[in-house]
Amino acid sequence: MSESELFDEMRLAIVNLDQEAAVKLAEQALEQGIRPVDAIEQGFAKGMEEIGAQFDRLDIFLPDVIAAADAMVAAVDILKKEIESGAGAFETRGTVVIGTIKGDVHDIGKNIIKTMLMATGFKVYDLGKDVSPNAFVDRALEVNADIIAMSALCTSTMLHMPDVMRILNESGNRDKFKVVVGGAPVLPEWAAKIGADGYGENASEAVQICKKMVGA
Amino acid sequence: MFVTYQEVLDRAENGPLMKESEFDRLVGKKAKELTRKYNIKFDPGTIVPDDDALADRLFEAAVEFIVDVGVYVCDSERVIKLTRDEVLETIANVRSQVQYGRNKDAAIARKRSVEDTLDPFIIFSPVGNPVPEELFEAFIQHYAQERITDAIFSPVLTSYKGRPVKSDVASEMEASIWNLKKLREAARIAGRPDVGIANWASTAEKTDVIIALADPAFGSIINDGVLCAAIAEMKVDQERLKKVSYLVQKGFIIEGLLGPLMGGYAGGPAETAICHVAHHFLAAIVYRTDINVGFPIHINYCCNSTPEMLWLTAVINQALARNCNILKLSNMFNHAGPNTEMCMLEAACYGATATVSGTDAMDLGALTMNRHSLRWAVQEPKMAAEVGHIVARMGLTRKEVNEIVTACVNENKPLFGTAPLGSQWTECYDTERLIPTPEYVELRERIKGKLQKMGLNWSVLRVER
Repeated sequence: MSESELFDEMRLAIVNLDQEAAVKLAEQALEQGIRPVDAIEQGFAKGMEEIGAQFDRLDIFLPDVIAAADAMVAAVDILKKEIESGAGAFETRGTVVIGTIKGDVHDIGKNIIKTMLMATGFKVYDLGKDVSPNAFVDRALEVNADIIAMSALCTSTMLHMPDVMRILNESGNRDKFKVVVGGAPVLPEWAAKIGADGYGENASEAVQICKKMVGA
Repeated sequence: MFVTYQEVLDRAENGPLMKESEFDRLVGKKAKELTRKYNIKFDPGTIVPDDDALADRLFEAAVEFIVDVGVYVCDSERVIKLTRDEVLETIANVRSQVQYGRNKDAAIARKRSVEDTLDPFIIFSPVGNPVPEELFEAFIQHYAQERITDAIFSPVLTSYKGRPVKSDVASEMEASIWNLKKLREAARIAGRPDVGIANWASTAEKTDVIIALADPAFGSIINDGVLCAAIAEMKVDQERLKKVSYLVQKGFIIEGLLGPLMGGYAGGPAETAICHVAHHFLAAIVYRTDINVGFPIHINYCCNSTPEMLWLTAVINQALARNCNILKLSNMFNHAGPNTEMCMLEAACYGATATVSGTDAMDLGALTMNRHSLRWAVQEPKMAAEVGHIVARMGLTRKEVNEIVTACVNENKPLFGTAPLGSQWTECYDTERLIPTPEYVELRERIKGKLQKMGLNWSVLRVER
């Protein structure tokens, strides 16, 4: 199979939610001596882009996005082994610390974004739900994150997000991270008011903003 | 075999282990399988189906769904497993009516059937709408004074003594107490001193605040309701179970809060319908609820007024109304803001769809996607309530309602995704006299005229049945 045909098969494996095919194609790419980074970026990642677009239009739903991401991650795991064994550098797009803010246990939106970030090459540290403002900052410092991403479902819980900004400012760490916020009660004007760097109306938008923030 | 509450708590601690991510995948997989097995499909050509067999298949699919996936307990990472017999026997033990309020404000929410001529129970509810403290009391009064509402919800208090009301901090307790006192006082001034309050403070999620607010010194009465939310999808945690352990012994109305996301873990409309009916079982069995607030939400538009979401509302209510006594409080979520034609038509569609499909009560409801401060006013909820009562009193069929709803939804379709925000409350209401502006009244009368031409007869509202 030519390189371009193989990349197209990789794209289709993701679009068709076929994890088995994605893994086989990743192995085939290695056998054919294709650069792992090219296989990811020109093959599998194209499939995830299509999945993202289909989800935006609601031609497909979250279970399909998760299945596609699972296929993507399985393929990337095969390719990463080759990269880590010395066949070239594999750079993640960026590192994101993500969580649902203090007092809030709703995480479906956050999980959708996490899935899509991971599938598009970000390293994601998921702090889970009901995460204190301090925990966001501490973890971001620990892992040298690029982005802190926060989600909330309730008006009363989103009011903890400004506390993260205050901690960053007061500790002199504000410039180290970009901050993205989102969730049902969060509006773009409010995000700007609290000094966040970005706002995502939905998962796709949040991922696009993260990509822009890391210069991808 | 009936499942006791103690048995539920035991299974929350001792059920089989499972990682949450695995459970989420199972929900989507099972829901999809069951839509195929039971032939549950959204038909865009029929927003309000009159297919009893579909409703019954949906109920059966939901029973199989909860038996297959169980109820996930986030803290222990275990699953509460139930057998089919346990599900059916336990939900057979629910109450078929519940009283909100007392004395002359007492009102009873009763089990209704599909195409029932009994009026649906009405609760006016800006439950997620942010309102500042300086307008709080007047805002509540403006909807509490409407006699068509049988109970009321609280709006979201955004500040108290000039400080933001944040969840899970000490000041939340103070703010919530003030919230409830003001709610009761505003209802009293509106001539409804003993009206049932269906939630004391929208900010109050934690059990400690709920227990504090239960003190009658702050304005609660035993015929008030307390919300207990399921976590999407099919999940609970110990914080919510603590609340239930308190409420079952106390006597307040336990209200499930169920908001599965259409497009989320369950999948599309058909899968979400199965998941939502199963959530009602979850609430009845695990939370021992007396009535359940159901608000399936569109993942992109954050509303339930699109064709597929109205279909969801219709089939869920029909499935439950035909097959069990679980009391359903259907929660309207409109895309557009108040004082817009779109929002008025959304309200009419919701009121008609939910009522003819057998909802027992309507929570009216979120406007402007429930996220814009003060973009809520009562005339649209009132439109939904009146249309609901008219549909019931005229004895309209699902077929007849489907024609009306389809015509209204077709007008709104081009606007989904770009819905108008409408007016803030202060722009469409005289906030001192608490009456709508002439422009708002004119809009309401215009839409009423449109609906009358479609066959809805407002004169039936003059006489209580």
